[in-house]
Amino acid sequence: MSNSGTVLVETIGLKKHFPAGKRKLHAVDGVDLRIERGSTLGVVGESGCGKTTLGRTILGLLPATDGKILFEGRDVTHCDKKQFKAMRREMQIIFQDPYSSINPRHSIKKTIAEPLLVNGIIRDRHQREERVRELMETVGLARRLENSYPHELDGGRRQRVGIARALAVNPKFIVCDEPVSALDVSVQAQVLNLLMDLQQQLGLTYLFITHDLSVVRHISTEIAVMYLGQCIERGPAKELFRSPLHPYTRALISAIPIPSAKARETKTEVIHGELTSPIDPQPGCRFAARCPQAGPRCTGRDLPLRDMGGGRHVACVLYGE
Amino acid sequence: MEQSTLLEVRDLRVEYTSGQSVVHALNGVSFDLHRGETLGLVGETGAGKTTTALSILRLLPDRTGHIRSGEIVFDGIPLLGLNEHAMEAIRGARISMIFQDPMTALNPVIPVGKQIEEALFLHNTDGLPSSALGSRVDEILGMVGIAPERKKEYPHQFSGGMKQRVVIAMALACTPELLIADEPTTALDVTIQAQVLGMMAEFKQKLDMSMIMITHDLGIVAKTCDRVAVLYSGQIVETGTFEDFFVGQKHHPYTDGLFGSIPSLEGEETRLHPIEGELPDPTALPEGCAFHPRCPHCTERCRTAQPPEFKRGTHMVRCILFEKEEGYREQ
Repeated sequence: MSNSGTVLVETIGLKKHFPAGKRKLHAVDGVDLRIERGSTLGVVGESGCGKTTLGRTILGLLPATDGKILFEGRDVTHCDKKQFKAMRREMQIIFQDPYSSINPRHSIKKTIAEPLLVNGIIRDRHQREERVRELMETVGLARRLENSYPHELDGGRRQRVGIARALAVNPKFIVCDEPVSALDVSVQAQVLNLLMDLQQQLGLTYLFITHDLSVVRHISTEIAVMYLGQCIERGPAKELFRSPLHPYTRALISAIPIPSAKARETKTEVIHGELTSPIDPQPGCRFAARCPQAGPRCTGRDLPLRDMGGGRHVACVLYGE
Repeated sequence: MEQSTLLEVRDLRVEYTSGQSVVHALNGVSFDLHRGETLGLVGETGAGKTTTALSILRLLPDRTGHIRSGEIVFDGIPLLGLNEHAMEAIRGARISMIFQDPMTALNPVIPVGKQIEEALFLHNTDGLPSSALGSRVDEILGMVGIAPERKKEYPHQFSGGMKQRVVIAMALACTPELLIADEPTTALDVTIQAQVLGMMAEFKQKLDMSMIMITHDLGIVAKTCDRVAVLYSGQIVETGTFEDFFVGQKHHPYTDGLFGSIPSLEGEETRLHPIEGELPDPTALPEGCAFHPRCPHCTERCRTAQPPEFKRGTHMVRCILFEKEEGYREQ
């Protein structure tokens, strides 16, 4: 997949804390990631694990509390307004809900043309309209829809508008934040195919955020599993699913209901309890309270991601300390 | 073993009217539910899953929703002929429903214990004194894994999974014979979903209930259902047992499309095989088979004539491809 093998985006010890009264909510708490050019890093985890905050912090939509974000080797953690605007042409985002992320009073044409106008990419109106048509064709929107308004389109087409808008500035990197979660399965599959085709054609790099494990396995080159602000396991997609290491990853994968006759035979490993509070967490493994294999070694200090070879990393005392 | 039928739905037609336009939500839905069985009702947004459930409970919106024809018979009682008073004795007591979104199904300004108690109070068939209702609430909360001390708390103090447990507790309070679960775990995370599905299966056994599981997730169907009915544009296009669906290879083209749209957890395929196009506009359904504009096997006949049902044993498919299929007979 990666043609040059160079790293496009990297985070080092990235943290994002939100004030919660006198205390701190640790939404993202020390995440190290590397995304290679032309590949897809899937970020998976349950609601409240910090995956959306991670995506937004990488894009600079939320200022990082600590740590570094590198884009093509440049430190982009703290940039001023001008640098930020220039960066926006390289990094884009597709939002989860195509119903609320598009201005309902703008026509499809205007919505897609806006990034071209704001960034001063194409100043000539006719050329801009030409480019909008080209983008609509790329994402599979019929030309007759250019003067329609968002409420006239269904969810799948609206999400295509969101994709066309992100593509308008020719970005290298796109954060896809649950882009198919609001769509029906048959439409979801169309959008997933489109995203994968676009990646091939345009050499895009994705950070793909989702809670849907079968989607993440399908689209990702590499997967990072998050739990309460930390990345607890990372590895190549297919291997991670074949032999999950961390007890939480195992529980997640075992909890997916599979649509086949085998679903009856396989016993689901139900983990008990729910996500604990992300406000001022104690040092130690954050999954320990729900983990069936937790012991005294799991608490007291934070566990680093250990390199297990073959691109696989895990943060768990079961694999050495 | 001959199973007795608890619920019979025959040729149900439901329309919603708004201004000039008429939405054909259900166009002749028929199915049976046997006692002790879980039936999966599968389909995408707008297929008519929730409308079917609301019709059974007679909860369709007053002014806009209309049952045009059909029959719903529950335990020998024709529900569509009942007056509102008689229906109230069934709704919540003998048939209850779990709604998709636990955040909106609960009243935000009433403590959860009171909300459960309300169901008991309204359907107090055992004639319990009101002092005994409180301890019954404790018992029910304990059953769904919530500490009874929390009954004085308000919905916002619970997490999504806990709220759904409260909703389930309310639905089970009067030990109904039929539970309709409308996408009960769609709003929940996958580990919490596993907990809730496990709990529901346990109750079904314990309380000897029958269940209609409404879902768009074929994985949940495989995990929980004995029989399956696939809805498309207000029509059942395929029904069959668990084996017919997950072991059998022959399906309606729409069902095939649904299976092809799901990324596999084991395979190596790089592309999905979605169904092209979108659900038809329910105010102007296509002529002939409702699926024909999206069907890869569409023929001239599909465009003009409604396909009949073809049946083999427990398996029914509404598609003319099955005309030539061995063992399938036109009904």
